[in-house]
Formats: sequence, structure tokens, C-alpha cells
Amino acid sequence: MQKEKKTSGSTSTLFEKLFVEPDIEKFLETNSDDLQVLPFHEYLSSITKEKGLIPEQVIKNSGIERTYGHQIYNGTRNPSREKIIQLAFGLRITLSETQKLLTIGNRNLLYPRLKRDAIIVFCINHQKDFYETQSLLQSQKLTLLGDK
Amino acid sequence: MTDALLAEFLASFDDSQYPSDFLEKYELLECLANNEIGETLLIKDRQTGEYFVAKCYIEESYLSKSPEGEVLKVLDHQGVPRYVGEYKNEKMLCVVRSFTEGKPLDRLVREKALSQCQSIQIAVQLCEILTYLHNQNPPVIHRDIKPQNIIVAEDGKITLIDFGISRTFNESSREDTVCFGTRKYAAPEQYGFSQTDSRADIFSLGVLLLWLLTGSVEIQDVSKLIPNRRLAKIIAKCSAFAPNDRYKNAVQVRDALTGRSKRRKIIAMVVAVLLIISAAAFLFRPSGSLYQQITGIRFKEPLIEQAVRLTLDKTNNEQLTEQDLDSIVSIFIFGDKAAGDADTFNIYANDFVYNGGNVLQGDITDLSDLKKLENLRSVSIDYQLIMDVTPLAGLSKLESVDLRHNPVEDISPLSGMPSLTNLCLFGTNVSDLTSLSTCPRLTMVDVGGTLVTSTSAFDGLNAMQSLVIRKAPLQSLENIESHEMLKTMYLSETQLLDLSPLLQLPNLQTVEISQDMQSAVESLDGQNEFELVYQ
Repeated sequence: MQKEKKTSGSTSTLFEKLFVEPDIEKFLETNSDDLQVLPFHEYLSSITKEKGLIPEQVIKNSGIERTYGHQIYNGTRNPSREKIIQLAFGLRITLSETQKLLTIGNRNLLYPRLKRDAIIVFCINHQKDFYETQSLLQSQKLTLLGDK
Repeated sequence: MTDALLAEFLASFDDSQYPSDFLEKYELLECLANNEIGETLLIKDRQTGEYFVAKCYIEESYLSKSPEGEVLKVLDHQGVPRYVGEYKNEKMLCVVRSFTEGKPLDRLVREKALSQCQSIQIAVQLCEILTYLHNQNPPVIHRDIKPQNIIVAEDGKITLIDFGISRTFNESSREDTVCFGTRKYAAPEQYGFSQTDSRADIFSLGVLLLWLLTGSVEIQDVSKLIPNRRLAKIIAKCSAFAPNDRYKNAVQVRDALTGRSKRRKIIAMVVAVLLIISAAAFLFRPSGSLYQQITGIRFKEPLIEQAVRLTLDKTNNEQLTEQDLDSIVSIFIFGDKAAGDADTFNIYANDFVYNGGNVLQGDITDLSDLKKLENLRSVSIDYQLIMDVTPLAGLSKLESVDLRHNPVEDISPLSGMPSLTNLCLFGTNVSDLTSLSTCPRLTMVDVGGTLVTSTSAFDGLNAMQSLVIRKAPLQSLENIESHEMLKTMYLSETQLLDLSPLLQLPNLQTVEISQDMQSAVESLDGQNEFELVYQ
């Protein structure tokens, strides 16, 4: 049985924690209760449901190709870090939820010391959608999500 | 998003801790790891779009010179990252190296456990890399061999990364001053008992192999964890507490893992005899090949050369002589993997059969290199692009030819071979073998998965004792009685409906069929004296 989800610290507190001390090991240790071991696609489905969404909407809002997106949902594809970040925009989730999604997907966390990641974090924190984020990355001459 | 908020964010963002020329050249994409010493970043060349990895050190003692950069600068091996350059300011030193596409071994195993065969393949590759590192002058000791530091590419090739705590062995130092490594994988001497030499890496290699096979790193439990006594013994010897009790070098470990060490003595004797004969022959031959003696022998097909070198245990830098080539009696290549002996070849072949995509198709089209190997008795070159077998025609000593999974159609160049006894053509496009009626000793033939449709394809092959026709579109066994020497037949996964012609084969002992051939079995009406074995 899954552990009950611990109430996470506020997004900004986590964000600050990451800025001040971007030690990923420490982040994982401190937030270990949140990071239950679940197959990625199962967790993705559960969070999709929790947010009152359906996969079709999430995939569309993530800018992910439809077939590919469904393959992620049914577990036949392991998404890259880029795709997970795109899904985070499709799910309109918080930064801490995004970091959790990345952790369960076995990918590296967003690291706000790097400009591209910092912009992504900024957009997540300000509820920007995938296309607004792409536009901002482009204006800063940075690699677009999914282009990596 | 208000422009002001965005502008404020962009204005407040500060990445001036990174060297400015580093930021100009590269976009920083992802933090792969970080600790108090610094960060490991995935970066992208802004101009070329090429990916690299940068180690960015912030720890003061690393700012002037990083151990990893110094080590990588002198190394040049496909299993080791390539040094690209360095960037520094007063706060940070960034060492850029090549990026290897693939998955760290720990993640790969977490996603799907590896088979014993795959685990051994990884260990064998690691032995090759360690041999290269330890043969440097002075030797390079990695000192942090663990799954996280081994990247496995899609084709199964590995790269050893993170030379952050590696060091060159200094004969004059009594002990290492700094204790480094990863607990459980690090040799006892890395905890400060004495200076580490290459045997520290051998220790970690043993722990790694134990982990690959069992998921455990408890080296004291090796005999309980590994039922295969030979493997357990190899791991225990790699990871013995005292360095003197371990294998002396990675070549010995590789040989033990591939079974080569056992045969080495026998082979050495055979090679010695052959060398003496070849040397005698060389003394009495015309001097026409003096040029080759000076320049070394050249090969058209790199995989064939690799197989030759593996068989001879010669590195790419060592010259091959005609005497070397004369000593070769077998050649083994499966797909993109050359092997030095039959055991290793079988590992690759089994891997192909049971694990599918781990072995890629090889690119050999031309067999003319084999003409140089006049004493060849056995050729196993599978899963290539070979269509023309004419170069084999002159190899009069050939006893065994295995060309599985090649697009060969015409095997008539093998006709008249006096010694040919075994022929394996599984998965080729062969449909007719009658030209081999002039091979008096051809007793074992495998034409499974070929285009053979009738027994007339074997007309005149009267010495056959074992015939494999699995998965071939064979319609009938009519006239099979002319092959009265047949003892064993493999007929599984064929469409045969009538097996009664087999009743006329006086020496037939065993016939292999598949479960779905039950109606064909009924055609025997219980009169068979031979045994029916189900696949």
C-alpha cells in the first residue's frame, strides 16, 4: 500500500532550498517520504486523475506527439527528462510536483543554477503553459523543450 | 506573465560563477550530479549543437588543476571519455570531456536485470579498458569503479567515466594520502592501508561482477550467492583482501572469464609447434613478402583483423607477421563482435538467440582476408553481409564452415573440399547443396531457415550423418532414403505431413520434431525404431 502523501513545503520554499543549496542528494533525502517507488506511468495516471484531467488533454497541452504520449501513459515508453518536463506543463503542476515526477521517472531534477532550468522553474512557478515557456526559451536563445 | 516580473527575474539571474568563455561557448543543459567539490553538467556547444560533459570544480584544491583533466588528457581509448578542454576563473575550473550516449549501468539494471552472459560481457569489456589504463606509463588507476560510472550504449559497448579520483601509480609512494572510493566497491587499501595499484581496480571489478550477477555487493558471501563455482572463484580472487592474492592484471581476469586461461597452455604448445613449422617454412621460402614483414599485414575487413588479433592476443599496435597468421586455425565472429575463442563466440551467439538486439549485424562482405590464414580449419563468421564464399575455395584444410545469418546463395565454391565435415548455413538463402557432393567427409549439415524445399537439394551428399532442416520450407521427405548414413535429423518447425520415408533409413537414431507436428508423427504408425524428440 502506498504511503499517504506528506504535505509538501510550499513551492517557493522548495525553490529557495534548491537555489540556496542545490544538493540533489540532500533534496531527495529530505523529501524521501514524497518519493514513493511507483512505476512512472502509474504515477502519471494517478496525478492526471488527481488533477481532474484526462491523458488526451495532458498530452495535447504538453506539446508531445499523440501516439508517443499514449505510449508514455501505457508504460511502453520511458520518457526522457525533456518529455517529463513537458508533461509537467501539460499537468499544470507545481515545482515540487515536477521534481517528484522527474524523480519517479528516474531523471535529473531541475537545477535553477543553470539558466535554462531556471527559466523553466520560473515558468512553472508562474503557471505559464508549455507554449509560453517555449517562447521565453526561444527569446533567450536557449534550447527549446523537446529539442534536446 | 508581466514583462516587469520577467525582466526582474532575468536581471536577477546570476550565473557569473561559471567562467565567461565557458558560458559563451556552451549552453548548460542539465545537472547530472553535484556535491561539495563541484557539479557535473550536460552541456551543448552553441555552434555545433554537439553535447559534452563538464566537470565544474568549486573546491579550492581543484581550481589550479583537476585530477580528471590531467588523466583524460593522456588517454585515447574508445572506452574512456575524450578530453576536450578547460575553462577557468577565480571561482571555478570547468573540464570538458566527450559525452557518451547511453545509460549508467545502475539504471540499466534497475530497468531490467542482465543475463549472466550480458554481465560477463560487460566485465570482459571493463577488463579491456582496465588493461589499457593499467598499461599506461605510469599506470592509471581509476579507483572508483562502480555501476554509476559505467555508461552502456545501445549497442552494448561500455564507457568508463568519472576519473575524478583516479591517479597515476607512483612507485615511490608508500601509501595514498587521501582515502577515496565508494564504500563496498573500494579495495581495503583505498582506506589507507597501503598505496593503491592496479589491483585496487581488480578488487572493484570483482564486486561489480558480483553485483551484476546477484544484486549484492557483500563480497564475503560470494560462495553462497553464486552457484557457479568457477565464477564464484573468479570473483573471490578478484576481490581478495590482500592485493597479492588477487589477479595480477585485468588480462588474467578477462582470460578467466572467457575460459581462455584454461586453454592457454594447450594453445601455447600448439602455437609453438606451428611457429616452429612456419619458421622453418619461412626460411626456405622466396623473399617476396619482405615488404609485409616490415609493414605488417593489412586487412580489408576490420572485424576479421580484430578476430585475428584476439585469437593471437595482440593489441592493435602490435604488428602481425605471416608466422602469426599461419598459427591461426580458427576464426570466430558473430555480428559486430569478434571473438578470440569458441567460448566467447558462443556467448555472443547465445546472446543473439536469447536476448535479441544486443548483438548488431556485422558489416563483413569480403572474405578475401581469410586467404592469408592458410591453416584455417574452422571458420565461424555469422550475421554479416556475405554473399560470395569464393575466397574459402583455396583453404584446403577447412573442416568446419559456419556462415549462419548471411545472405549467401551459392555455396558451390566449397565443392571438392577434401576435409570439410561440418557446414552450418542456418538463415542463409541457400536452396541447393548438390555441388557439395564432391566433399567426401561432409557429415554434418545445417540448412535450417534456408530456402531448401526438397530433399533433392542434398543429392549426392552421401556422407551426411546429421541433418538440420528446422524452419525450412521443406514439403516432403521423398527420396531421403538415399542418405542412408543419417543418424540424426532435426525437422522441427517444418510443414512436413508425412514422416514415413524416414522408416527406410537404417541408421537413423533420433529425430527432433515440434509439438505441432503431431499429425506427421501419426504417419509413422508406430513403426519407428528411432527416437522422436520434441523441441
